[in-house]
Amino acid sequence: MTTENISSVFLIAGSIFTLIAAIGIIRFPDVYIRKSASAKSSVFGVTLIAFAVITLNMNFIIGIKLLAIIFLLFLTIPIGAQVLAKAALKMKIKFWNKTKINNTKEF
Amino acid sequence: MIDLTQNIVLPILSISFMIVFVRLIIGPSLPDRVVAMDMLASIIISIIFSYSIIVNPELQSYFIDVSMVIALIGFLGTVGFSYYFIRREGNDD
Repeated sequence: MTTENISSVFLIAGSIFTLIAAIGIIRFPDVYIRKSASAKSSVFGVTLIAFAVITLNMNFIIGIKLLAIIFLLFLTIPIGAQVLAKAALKMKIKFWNKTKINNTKEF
Repeated sequence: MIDLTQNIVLPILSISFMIVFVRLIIGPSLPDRVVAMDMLASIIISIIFSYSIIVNPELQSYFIDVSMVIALIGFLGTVGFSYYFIRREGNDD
């Protein structure tokens, strides 16, 4: 009974984090800010839902697979975010007009 | 637990899927669409995890294998698109 309560708290928190990431993607004004919101919140939402599945059924095989997926996401999503931001910077996509930038000359 | 999953969690994830899909359609530039596609991959992983609670426990392991494959393919898609963007601009470093 207690395990189900902890798991339901994790599920609701993870889905709300994913919804916040989606609202950030549709409302933020710039590619770079959108990528920041997507990278942080989506990895946290997936991690919370995976912890919910782990705490719901204490199975060893499923737990090992879910921890491997969490490790993979924590390793790959920041790398993808930085590489995509560098590509967008090289494509000369405009910043938002309220962003203060000091070390890039051409914008 | 099953009622909570299929009455609250899966509708919230579906609504966020639709919101991100709007950004995938109306995105002004090409990296916007890549950002939306990367986000869609992780929402699909969340939906698969939530749906694996509802199904019977013998089938739960296969769903998690599928979500691992989707995580790998999403990362490779993002890095591949970025490599293509950087190489298309001419000066490679």
